[in-house]
Amino acid sequence: MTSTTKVMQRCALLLPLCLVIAALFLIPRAGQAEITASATLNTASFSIDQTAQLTVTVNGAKNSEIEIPDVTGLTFYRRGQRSQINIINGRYSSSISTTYLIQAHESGEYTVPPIRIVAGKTTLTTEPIPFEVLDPTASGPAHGGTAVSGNSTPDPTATGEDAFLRLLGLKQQSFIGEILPIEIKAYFRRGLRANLNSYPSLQGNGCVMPQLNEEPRQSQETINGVSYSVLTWKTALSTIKEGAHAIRLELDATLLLPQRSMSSSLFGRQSPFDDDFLDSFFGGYQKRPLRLASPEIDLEILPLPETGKPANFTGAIGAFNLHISATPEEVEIGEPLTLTMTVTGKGNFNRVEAPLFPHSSDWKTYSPSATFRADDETNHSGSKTFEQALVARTDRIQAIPSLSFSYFDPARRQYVTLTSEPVALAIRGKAAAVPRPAPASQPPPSATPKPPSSLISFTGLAPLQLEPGKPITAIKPLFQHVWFGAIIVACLVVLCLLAGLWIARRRAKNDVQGQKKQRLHRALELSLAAVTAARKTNDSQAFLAHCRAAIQQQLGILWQLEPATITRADLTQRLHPSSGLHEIFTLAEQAAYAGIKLSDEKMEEYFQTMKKELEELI
Amino acid sequence: MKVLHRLSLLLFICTLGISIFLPPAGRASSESRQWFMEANEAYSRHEFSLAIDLYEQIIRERGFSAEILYNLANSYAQNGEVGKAVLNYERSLKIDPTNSDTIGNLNLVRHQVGLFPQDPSLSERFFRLLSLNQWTGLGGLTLAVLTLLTAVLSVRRSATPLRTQVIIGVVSLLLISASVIGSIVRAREWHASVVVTAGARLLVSPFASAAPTGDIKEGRLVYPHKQHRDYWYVADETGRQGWISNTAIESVINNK
Repeated sequence: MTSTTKVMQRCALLLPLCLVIAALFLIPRAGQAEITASATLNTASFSIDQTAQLTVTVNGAKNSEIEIPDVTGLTFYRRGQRSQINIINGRYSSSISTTYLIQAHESGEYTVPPIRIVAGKTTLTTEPIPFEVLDPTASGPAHGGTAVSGNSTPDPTATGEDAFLRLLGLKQQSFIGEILPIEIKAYFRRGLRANLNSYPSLQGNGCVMPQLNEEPRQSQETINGVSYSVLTWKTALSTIKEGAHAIRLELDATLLLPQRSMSSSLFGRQSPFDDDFLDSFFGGYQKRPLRLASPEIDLEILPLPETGKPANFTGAIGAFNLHISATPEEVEIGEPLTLTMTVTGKGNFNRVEAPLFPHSSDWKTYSPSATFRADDETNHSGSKTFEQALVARTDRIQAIPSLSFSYFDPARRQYVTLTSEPVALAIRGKAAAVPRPAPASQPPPSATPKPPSSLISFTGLAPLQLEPGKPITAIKPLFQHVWFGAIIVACLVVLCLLAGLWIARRRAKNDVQGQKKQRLHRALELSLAAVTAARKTNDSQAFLAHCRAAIQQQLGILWQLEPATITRADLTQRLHPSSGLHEIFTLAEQAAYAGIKLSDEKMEEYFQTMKKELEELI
Repeated sequence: MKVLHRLSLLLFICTLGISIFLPPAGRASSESRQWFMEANEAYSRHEFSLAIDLYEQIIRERGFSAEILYNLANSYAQNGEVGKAVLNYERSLKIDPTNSDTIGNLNLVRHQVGLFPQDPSLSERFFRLLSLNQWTGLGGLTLAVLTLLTAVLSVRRSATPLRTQVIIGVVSLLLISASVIGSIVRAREWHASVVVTAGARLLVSPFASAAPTGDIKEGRLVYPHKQHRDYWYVADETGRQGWISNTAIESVINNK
């Protein structure tokens, strides 16, 4: 093959490649449409509790910037964006559609103004779009409007409508001690996500509310066309203070608001997912604390009237019924029977006490036991049963006497006394000894209340004292008696005095030694004065004689010897061999028998040595 | 010297014994004696209520003694009023703490109604060997003897061996310390009260509508700590605490 042929073959291979490349670059330019933009609203009218969808479409551009204008009363929420590329009959086209949700705060007529769009070097505007926002009651079936969904972002400024708290069933007047059943309802707009931080708490004086521990009942309610999730608690207030009081409830919660958009994303201000569910899943929630408060209710708490108050009134307020029964109805004397008294109705059962059995020598009575069965969650309605053991002491008894129970009816504002009919009994047999109870260590289980200690016969008690003893009027411990306190004080005073005396003696003993020291110092001073006087006269004999006398005097006091009896032998025996006093004393003794002449310097030396040695000995 | 020491020791032991076994003594007026005899006769006829009334009358008119309180307690016990019985036994023991009849009857009554106190600790058992007055008396007596000995030795001014002085000092210090501690421990129990009503309850708060923490038996000893209106905050012998109505308890020491 020749070189020309090779070139032609290569050109033939390259040509299609060039044509393809040219087609990729040239055909789109040739087939690309002109850039246009449009905005459409999916509905011409929608209700205020719904939204409308605005779609802004840009054709002929791969990307664009859309400037949504601010409109009073409207809020625009960007939903997402969609891009599309079409090649039809060789013509290439691309479009970008951006979706927004429009939410209105007030009903009325609005217009979406022209939206400015910048695509590359081209600036476009859309046509204005008029629409109408209707009131919720005026809205019929949704005209394409979009209901608020949990994934859309609610208006944070409308939390007062999104959630609220109500206190229901509280009457405005009550009496002190009365139990007032109430219902607490917390409303949350359906679709809102919220967490409760606390149970409802009562604010205000005059009443107390038991702590709510149970989970509320959940339900759905529609108010003014708005659906709410409702949490309901049933409880009761107890009035404790008379007067006028303002009552309200408070509840702390946290609203979870999904974040609008990804502000820091690789894709700029646009969400990487372009989907709200995934945006909220990965984008998180904004927590907004919320305190709900119910409207204040004025509650007047009145005192119970004193007029007409029965003697056996124990504080029960409400509406009650009384039922009395006895089992068995046929007993022997001395056998116990159970009197059952049941109070049913509505009211403050904690103040309901057993009707008093009238005191009688024919009956032996015991303390009643009580059990309460509530019919509702608030313990306001129910029945309280009292069981009391009775023992008939005589067969004259024919019936259990009438028992009465008094309460205050707040509805009728008056006291009511219920009186039971006598309960017929048949008592047979003669008086018998009261049966002994079971040992206290193992009480037998029984349906009737166990006979209390009063039934026990205390056999084995030591007999009575036969002498009354000397009566006193007060029991005082020993330390409270004056005479005992006086003895203790006297002992302490004496001990203090003795301690003082001991201290004084110790001081005096130390003083003896001090006095001795003082004597030594004085004597040394006198002796040294005499020695100095002798030195001044330059009389060595007199100097040495005075030195000897000084040494004898000091040592005599120290050793408690007569100074004149102290000899050189004593010094040798008692003083340290290195003491300078030895030389002076020996020289002084020699001078007594032979004349010795000392120079001034020597006398001075001997004087200082003797002074130093004697002072050290003190 | 040795004789002096022995005499001092003997004096110490004698006065110690007297302080422990000091019996009450005295004579009552003839009128109260007459009531007392009538009350005893009513008791023997099993007319316990009448006996109670007569003993109470003596106490109101003339005062009380360990014997009167003991007989009154017996009457209450036989009449089934355990709380009042325990109360008056305790009062009688305050005056005559070593009376075996009183101690025996009190234990019998408490045992039969199921009032079992908690087992005392070793220290409590030690301090309960003597009553409050006995501990106080022991401390006072030791102080008095110590003062006397110190004065005698100080006046004689003779050299007492140091060992003797130390022994006297240490023994006196131990006795006085034990007396003080024993007095403090027993003084806490001096102001006890007794539950005198059946069906009494301990409440969480000092209000009639407050929730009860439990029942408390008639005859149980309680120790009041503080008061709020008509309620006392008490602790019972078993350590339970709560509020109780002041009408349900009565103080053992009720000096008016």
